[in-house]
Amino acid sequence: MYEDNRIKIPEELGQVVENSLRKVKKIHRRKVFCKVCLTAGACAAAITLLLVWGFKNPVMASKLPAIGHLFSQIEKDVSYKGNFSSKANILLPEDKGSRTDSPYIQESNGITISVTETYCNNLAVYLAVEIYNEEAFPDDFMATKYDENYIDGYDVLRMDSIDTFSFDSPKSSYEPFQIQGNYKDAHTFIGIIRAETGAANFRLEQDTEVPETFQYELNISSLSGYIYSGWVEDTYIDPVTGEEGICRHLDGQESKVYKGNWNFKFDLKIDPAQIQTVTLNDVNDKGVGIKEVVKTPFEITATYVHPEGTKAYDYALVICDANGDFLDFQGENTRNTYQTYERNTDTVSIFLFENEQFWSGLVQYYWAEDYETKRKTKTFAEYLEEHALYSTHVDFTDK
Amino acid sequence: MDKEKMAKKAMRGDTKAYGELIHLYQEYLYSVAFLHVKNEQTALDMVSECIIKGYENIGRLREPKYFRTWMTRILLNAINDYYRKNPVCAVYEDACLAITESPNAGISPEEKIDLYQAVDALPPRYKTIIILQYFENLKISEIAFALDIPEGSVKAYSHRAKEKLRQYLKEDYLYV
Repeated sequence: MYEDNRIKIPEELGQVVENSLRKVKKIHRRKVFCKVCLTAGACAAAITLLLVWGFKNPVMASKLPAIGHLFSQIEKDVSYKGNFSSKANILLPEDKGSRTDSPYIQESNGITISVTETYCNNLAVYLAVEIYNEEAFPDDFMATKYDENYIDGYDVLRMDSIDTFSFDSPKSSYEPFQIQGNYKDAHTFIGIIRAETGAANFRLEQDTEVPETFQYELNISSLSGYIYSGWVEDTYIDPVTGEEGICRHLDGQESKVYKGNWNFKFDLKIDPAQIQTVTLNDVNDKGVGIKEVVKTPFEITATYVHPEGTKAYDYALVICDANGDFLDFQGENTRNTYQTYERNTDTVSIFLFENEQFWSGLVQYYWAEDYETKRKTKTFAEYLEEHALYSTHVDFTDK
Repeated sequence: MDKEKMAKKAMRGDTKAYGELIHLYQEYLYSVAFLHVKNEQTALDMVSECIIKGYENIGRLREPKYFRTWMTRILLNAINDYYRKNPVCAVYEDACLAITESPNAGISPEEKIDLYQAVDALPPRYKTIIILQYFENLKISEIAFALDIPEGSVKAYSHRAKEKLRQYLKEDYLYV
């Protein structure tokens, strides 16, 4: 009706949007920083030293003593941590020289992706990948080295992909969109891809059974990263303290995309002996409760029930370790699967909350700067016990 | 661009995907803000606040196909906060400038100003629905989602709003 009554768009809108998106990136980094332990920073420092030494000398880097397969080189740096190397299925020999033609090595448009190892359980598939680019990756891609504001302990190569599991599962809507890892040199990126099976996808309203053996296909159509025009100085308002400051940051962000066609198919096998399942089938008078708790060597999750007429994603599943501390998510692309790496999960506390109640309020107790002091009196688990819609404790030691 | 796919990535924290969607909808967000507050700088501030709050609360978005209308809700909340702090009616100078510089579709600038004044005189809920439905071409279902009210309520408000607009414009209400 009033289509022709267009509002004049001011020229400043573009700049306002860019400034806002820069603040969004800072918020993203702060969120990740709250979840990543300081050990990640120490590992990043160690790897940075190694990369700086070998970086301009890829020949020297390749002559370094072998330090193990790819999983072992990066599994503790990425956001989805675990000792995958201890349980990996080796697809390619460590020595590149002895690698022959293999379906696990795919080349397209000058980029070779090699999947050297796999690990899987009923919650996720992990792939160790090596990406070799005939043309050097831009320096800007290596945020851990060149971006002084970067706080993650790993670099990221973004990708467009579609994946498929052979078992009868609703199509996963969480295709892996990034590879987390590090640059060995200007031409070589090593990393881990994590793909959820869908059984852990909290959007599923029905239980999905993952068979012991299944096929997993991953089709990658592009890899990308960011390049920048340079460094600029800006004033900003700290979202936490409200103080004004000056920040130096990279500006003029653009994507650099490498298009290609890399298609992989894997025959995967789960070891049921490594998976612990505790069936509770417990529902309280509020209509919420836990059906079962699943623990793998690297993750823990639970399926829960909620009142009729509500959705699973209206609720937050929260799990604390044996010390009463909040577990980290197993990566950035999951909301119900928690990480057990270097945490005592022999016993866990499991809670259910209304989503907004937890993420807009209760979680601040754990993220507060004085949590280490507060926990001496009341751990996060004890605090949550007072507010939860539902709570339970699971002991895995006898299971 | 597959917007739903981008929204799924944004929901997982991908700031690049979030940024691309914002670029896609930035003019729409500005238009909605400006139609409410009638001031260019305030509208820009609203858009900025909406972008930041949108990302902070991205975890609350449940359906990726509703990304635009969900951002609309964030923006309207910011506008409502602005109204609470600034109860004085909006200034029309910027609105007139925006209208007279826009492509002329056969409606005189004076008639456009009358229309905008009439819309602005509506009660807040009616005004928002008229803006979203007729200026931004949102469907009833999208408006219902953005305002978190039933579709039947949107239709009722829309009908009443149009009745009031007719009354204002027919009776030269604004010149009294």
